[in-house]
Amino acid sequence: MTFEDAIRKAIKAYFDGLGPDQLTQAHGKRQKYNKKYFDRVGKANGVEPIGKDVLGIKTKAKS
Amino acid sequence: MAVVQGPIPGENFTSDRKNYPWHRPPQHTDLDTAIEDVYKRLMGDEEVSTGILTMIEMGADISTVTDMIVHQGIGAGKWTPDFALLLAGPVAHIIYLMAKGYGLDPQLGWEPKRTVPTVGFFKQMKKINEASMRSALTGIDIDTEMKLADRQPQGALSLPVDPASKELKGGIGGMSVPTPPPTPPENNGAPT
Repeated sequence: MTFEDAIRKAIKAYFDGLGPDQLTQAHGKRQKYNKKYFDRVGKANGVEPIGKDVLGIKTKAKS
Repeated sequence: MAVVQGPIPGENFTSDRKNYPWHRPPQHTDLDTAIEDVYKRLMGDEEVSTGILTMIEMGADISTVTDMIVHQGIGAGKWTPDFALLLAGPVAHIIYLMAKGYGLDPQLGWEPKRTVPTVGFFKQMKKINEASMRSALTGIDIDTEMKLADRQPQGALSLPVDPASKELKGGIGGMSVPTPPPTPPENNGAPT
């Protein structure tokens, strides 16, 4: 995996809702600029939040 | 025998450390301050924001642009490569919002790629445009114009063929068989 692939994977994970929990715990404070924050900023400016439909992530059907 | 091209073990101790920014401790270890730094750089400098939006408009995806920005930060000693991975998501989101605010439809970097126009595509488009323009002027249908455009001689000294005269006269290469002048009708003893 190249660094570019790792960046792509990190972005994908971020938009999927994953955050750096370990880092947050280590610092002992909540991260201010997370996905929810930027979604709010986008909504205030008329940009729809990025959803799974935009990301092209297929959710597994529950059997 | 192959000569070793790389540094010998321990060579790093022979040179002065802190030569490069990434040899020193990173500037940011807190994610929020690092995001603020990136945000200020992206939104504060008009040249930077214009450059990024132009890149996205030209078809670069967001992950590529993000990769470029975080790489630049690593090179400048602002954060470590591991930290860059944590930073990539928020930076990508900022760029996404910038692009959307500008009215662009950015690609995130993992969708199926759009068809990139090739040189052949643009040549064909040029040909179609020229043909449609000439078609509008001459009144000849565009298919005939396209065929004529393919046969058009190229080069500085080549003589352009007028498609209108070619089509109207017929014949090969715009040349037509000269038609004889109309002869007066013979008088076969008919009363005048």
